Amino acid sequence: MTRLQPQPGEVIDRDRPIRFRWVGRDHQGYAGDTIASALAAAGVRVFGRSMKYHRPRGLLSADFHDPNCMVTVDGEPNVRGAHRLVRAGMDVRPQDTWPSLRFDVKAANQLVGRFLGPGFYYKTFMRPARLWPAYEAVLGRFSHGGHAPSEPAPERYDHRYVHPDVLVAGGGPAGMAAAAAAAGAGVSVLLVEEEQELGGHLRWGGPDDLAALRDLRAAMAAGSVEVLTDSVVTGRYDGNWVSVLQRAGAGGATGTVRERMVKARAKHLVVAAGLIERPYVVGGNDLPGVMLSTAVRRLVNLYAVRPGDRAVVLSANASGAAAADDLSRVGVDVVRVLDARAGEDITRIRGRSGVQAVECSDGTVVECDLVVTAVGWTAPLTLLTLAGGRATYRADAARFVATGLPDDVSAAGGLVGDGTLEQLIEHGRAVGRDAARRAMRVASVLAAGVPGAAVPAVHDGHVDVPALQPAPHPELFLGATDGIVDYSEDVSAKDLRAAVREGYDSIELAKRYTTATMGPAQGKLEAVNSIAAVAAATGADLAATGTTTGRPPYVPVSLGALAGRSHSLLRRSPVQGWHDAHGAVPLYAGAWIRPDHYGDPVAEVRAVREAVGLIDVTPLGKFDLRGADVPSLLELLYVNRWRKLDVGSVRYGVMCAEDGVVLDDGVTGRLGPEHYLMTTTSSGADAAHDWMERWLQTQRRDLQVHVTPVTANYASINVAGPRSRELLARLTSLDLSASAFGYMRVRTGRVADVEDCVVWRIGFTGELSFEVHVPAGYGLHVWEALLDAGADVGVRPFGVEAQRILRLEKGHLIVGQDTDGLTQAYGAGLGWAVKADKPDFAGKPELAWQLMREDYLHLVGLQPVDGTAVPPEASQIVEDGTRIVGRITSSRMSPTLGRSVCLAMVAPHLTAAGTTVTVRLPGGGSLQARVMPQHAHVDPEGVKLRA
Amino acid sequence: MPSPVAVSAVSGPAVSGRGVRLADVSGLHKTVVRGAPPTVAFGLVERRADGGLALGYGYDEVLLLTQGAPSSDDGVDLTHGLTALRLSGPLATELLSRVCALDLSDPLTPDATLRRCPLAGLAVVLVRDDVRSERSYLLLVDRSYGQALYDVLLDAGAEFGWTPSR
Amino acid sequence: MIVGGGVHGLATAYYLARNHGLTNVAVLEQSYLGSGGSGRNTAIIRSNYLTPEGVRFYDRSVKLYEELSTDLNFNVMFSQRGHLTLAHNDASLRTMRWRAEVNALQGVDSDVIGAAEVGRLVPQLDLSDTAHHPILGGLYHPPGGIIRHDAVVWGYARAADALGVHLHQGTEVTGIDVEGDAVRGVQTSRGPISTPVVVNCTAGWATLIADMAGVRLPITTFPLQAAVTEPVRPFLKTVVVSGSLHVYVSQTARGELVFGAAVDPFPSYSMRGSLQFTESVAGHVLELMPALAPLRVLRQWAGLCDMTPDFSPVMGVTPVDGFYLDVGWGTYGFKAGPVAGETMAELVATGKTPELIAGFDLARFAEGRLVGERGAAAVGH
Repeated sequence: MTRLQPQPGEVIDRDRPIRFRWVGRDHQGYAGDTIASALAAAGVRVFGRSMKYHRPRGLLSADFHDPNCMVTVDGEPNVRGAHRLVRAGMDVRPQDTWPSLRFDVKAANQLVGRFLGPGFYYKTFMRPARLWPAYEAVLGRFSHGGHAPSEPAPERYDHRYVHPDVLVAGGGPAGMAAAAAAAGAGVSVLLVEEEQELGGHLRWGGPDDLAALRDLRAAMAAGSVEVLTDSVVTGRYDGNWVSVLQRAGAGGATGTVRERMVKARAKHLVVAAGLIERPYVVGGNDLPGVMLSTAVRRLVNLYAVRPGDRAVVLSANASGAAAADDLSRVGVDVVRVLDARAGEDITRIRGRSGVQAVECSDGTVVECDLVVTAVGWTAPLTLLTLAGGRATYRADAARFVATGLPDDVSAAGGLVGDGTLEQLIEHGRAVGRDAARRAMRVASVLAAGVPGAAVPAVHDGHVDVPALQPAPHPELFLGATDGIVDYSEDVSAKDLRAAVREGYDSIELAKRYTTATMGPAQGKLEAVNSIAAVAAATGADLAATGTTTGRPPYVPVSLGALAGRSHSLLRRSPVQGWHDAHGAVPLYAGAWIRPDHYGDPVAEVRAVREAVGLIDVTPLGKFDLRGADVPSLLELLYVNRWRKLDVGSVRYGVMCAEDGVVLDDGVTGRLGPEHYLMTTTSSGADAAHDWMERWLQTQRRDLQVHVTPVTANYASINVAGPRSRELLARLTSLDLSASAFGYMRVRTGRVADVEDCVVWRIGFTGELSFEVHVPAGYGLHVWEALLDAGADVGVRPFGVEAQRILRLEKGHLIVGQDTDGLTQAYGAGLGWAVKADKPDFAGKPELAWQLMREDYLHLVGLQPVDGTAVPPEASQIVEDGTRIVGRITSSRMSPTLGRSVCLAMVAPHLTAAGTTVTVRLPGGGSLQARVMPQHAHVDPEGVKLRA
Repeated sequence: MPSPVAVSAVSGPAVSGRGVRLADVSGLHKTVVRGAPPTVAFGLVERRADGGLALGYGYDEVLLLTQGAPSSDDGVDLTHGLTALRLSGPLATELLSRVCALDLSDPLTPDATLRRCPLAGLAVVLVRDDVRSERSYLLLVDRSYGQALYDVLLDAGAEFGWTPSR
Repeated sequence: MIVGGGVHGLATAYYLARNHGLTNVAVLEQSYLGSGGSGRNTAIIRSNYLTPEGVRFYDRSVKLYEELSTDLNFNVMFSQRGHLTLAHNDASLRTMRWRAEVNALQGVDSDVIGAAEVGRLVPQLDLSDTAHHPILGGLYHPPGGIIRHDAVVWGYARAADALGVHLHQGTEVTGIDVEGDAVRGVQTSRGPISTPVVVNCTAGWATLIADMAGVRLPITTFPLQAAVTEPVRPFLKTVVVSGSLHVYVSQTARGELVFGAAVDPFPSYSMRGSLQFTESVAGHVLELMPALAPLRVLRQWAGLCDMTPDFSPVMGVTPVDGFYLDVGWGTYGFKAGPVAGETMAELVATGKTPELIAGFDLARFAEGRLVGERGAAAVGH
């Protein structure tokens, strides 16, 4: 192959040579060349090797879907070499051709090909079983992909949302005409074209085609159509999402956006995807030098590449004839044109590393180096079937077509049928006008449901779309000898026949067994031939055999484009900046970032027990409840009673789901006659909000309650320790004395000059403590004010880890850690909170049932006999060696007691105080532990709490 | 002792780029008023005589945005609970189309309308509130996500070239 | 009569013939063999479950899988390359410790490993401190791995067929004849068949079939999506799961990366994929392994999962005599194919419920004996 003189429609710019490397050697092409066309012009014939048999492969379709031209570019694997444009300095390598493209050890596979039939790996490599890993490594060599990158690249990806009235998929003549016509009717249009330029098959056509192309392109430029080239519609999904992968021109001002996913909600979708040419299945059809007529026309007309010197053409349609003409025009010796419509045929193609000769059906053997086939077209129906259409076979046209499209999808041009260029353009125009009309109707319906939207007037005209039928075409799928059906997967017609013979006699089973159509092109070039091969083997016809299911994406989409921008969406407390600046080790708790500790959690625990500590508990779920029926809501959601909670009081509540499983816990305080502040765990806040609203909006709409989430509205600071009252009193005029402000009471007032703070006395840590909820904008101010004011009393901040130790010393459970998805209230030791005589509450029937049973685990306090041993959380408690009778749920070394303390779930017969249990330690060994009379290990009477 | 000053969740400056400006207006007073039917229908926005906005925030909720505390005592004060950012300029919608799936075109999201939607994964209240005929949006988000929203918008608008506003 | 031609139905048929000499058995499949969950799953085999009953059950399945190629004389390509569940917070580490301990007590190899060892197993993982979901460690289960799911279906089908079982594809069951609380026969799209025994092995369609026999099930069907990339050279030697990020990934012998996540949030019988799924899964995979951004998703699809309240199956008898259940397989059905087939065959042939499945009976829901496997089953099939 060589470069030709300038061609009228060529897309290369001979003034801009581009140097790049192929297999480590320098090559030169021109701006506008694809990797494949530049290499072809330089005489390269072999671009890769087939997956299983490692046969040499050359250009087949010379477009994006060419199965033989997958290359690695600058470390990026699986690049389509016949689509990607050359760029200066590119390093291009073939894939899967060790040690070299020319000499391939694995080509020895060909010699044992007889034994490598379809699914050969299912019938062998089984014994001895211990060698399977080695066999697997061998099979891994049959993988044909490139190498995954090992380092992240700096390129970025992003997303964009668009809402065109009409989206046209395909920028050939019909697509461009549809887009222009729709825009002319006054609607917004987005046109998506997979090649780098608009025009479809016009680009490699004759003078008339090129003239029409110029006119159509001018219409695009003049109008208001947004055009995306080198972009592909990759799917139409439920919810009317049309995804478009934008490859070129995706770079923003920074130029580093590699690919963009444009997510479109189009009111109407026009699919003008054209036709894909089908290869002919005959012996030798995968030799370098066998090409489709469209490949030849592309190479000659777009890239000025001479594809060979002596050509044989098998033609059943106009494209074949045109290819023959193009070849002759540029001086290729077209030695034979076989008219397939008249029954002439190729029996076999001969050659070793490339085409050398053709055996014709009349018995003659013709020497040549180029075989061109034009045996038929496949309509790419995937987008239409994804939209709800069905594929139906038309034997007269040798093609599947789509029927049953929904109202908001239409097809235009070659995808629908055949005709002259004028007919295709006219069809496109009519479909475009019709699409505009339908889109406007959809716009009207949409707007009617949107508050404040302007509802456009609807012109209920009618647009006549001319019928466009597929032209009659002979069925030419399988030749007289067996050839390759799926080039990527290296599946031959013989393989498919063998599969059917072995019982895989439907298209679905044959596909999975042979892997035909499971390669990178997902059937675009090979599905119909596969169906034909299975049909032939089963004796059925193509219609009865049917197709496999087309699935998105239409072309492969990178993970980067799918993911788009990555955003780390963290929730932050107003004090988090202070934590970061003061050595806090971060803990990611759900979406929140919190301080785990500030370097010494044990010292933090001591500070709280002996002096005073501050912890930022802003992530605590907080809800403002107002209304006359708040007590009724609380009684419904919690197992406790709430009706008698007076203003100024706080109560701890346990929330159970309808199966009696403990859902959440927290305290709720009554701030006013009809005003309450409810708290939940931080991780359970969203679920609790959902739960409340579900009841209020569905089953209990009679309840007059307004719930407003105020989690972030308040910064929440817990001041804990024997000197907490002393410290807080310095910053507030509220009377904090024991008589004026008792345990479980709430006040609002001014703290550190901030009005409207809510202060209550509760005690997760077991020490005298006050929790201050500050309007969040002042959160940092109050935090710092407390630290400043308390320097002399030894105040220090403490984090989540210290809090965990403190609460464990006091035996306070953590929902989700000391309970699990099946722990009902009585098992968690929360039976005291369950007021079973309430008329109704969430979980009541299940809890009543639990009380009648004896078979559930109970939460107990546990202390290892050896106080220096700290069993890991989730260690199992066992009896008789292996029978599990419980587990450790929480476990720490207690700085206050100087010994280890735990909470554990144990079987009912082990709950008596003093019982000794065996804890199995991970990695072997065990320890003995004693069941305690209560959960609290420190100050079980709660004296310090009520100070 | 000086009066304490409320601090915003956003620790970045006001910025402007080609065709867009972004500023933190979290100091706005925010009050949620409940009642069915709401005084402003869901999805609509009323401009108040005092220069503030009444947002049709929910099916029985109205969110009042005012410069100072509103005269009436009704409602829950969410001033500290929501971060408010103002995104203005002819390319504001273009920027938002990077992160918001809603159709923000004039027919479907005209001036004085409100939408609640995810924006790069954050639950946001989006208010179209044009100022002197210039396209402008107020974006409200839970305060704890305030910095995250600011970062998302900065990232989405990187191609417009941000510089700190004066 | 076994309804459902996936791995469960075919394995039951095979073991009925092979272990109990019963060959007057037919499998009725509405489409092609393996067209349901068996052909759509992400082919992960493991036994690192949370409850002792679950661990014993899935471990038996793993043992059967280890011998299956030899047994069926068909290479199912079981690659026991190890299964790793990542822990991003201490709650996960605790659950993993729990699973590891329960596994160890049943003699199943699982252990909690630290971040450094995770990094050695899967060098592509981002272990940096700046990750929003830092990797604190993981649950490593060496006997877990991947398999060629279609091969298991075909292997069982061929072996059952060779033993005389009848396999009917393209045959949809449209009704079940029940008289006096006992099964008399089935109605199909190809005509009626009289039979005293019907075994429901239809997974995602379980409730539709059970309805025909008048049996109510606490099961709801949800789609579960999956996607696959273009092949690249093998580099991922372990199955990697992240519960917090709701994603799991493995690499087939062909080189494709296979992804899955949690079930869709809404019940449906749709087997189409959604755009949201691939975006979400891609985002999470790149969070774990950022270098993989240029790899391309080739295809996506969905299968149906019959979800139970406790994430454990429903196996055994029903109030209708002769109507047996092998359903409730949720997101963990394929790995249980062999053991389910073996035990169901024993139940049907002998009338006695094998101890291994006694805890999975339908009656447990009414009696409050749930077998809670959510912690081990929810993501990480």
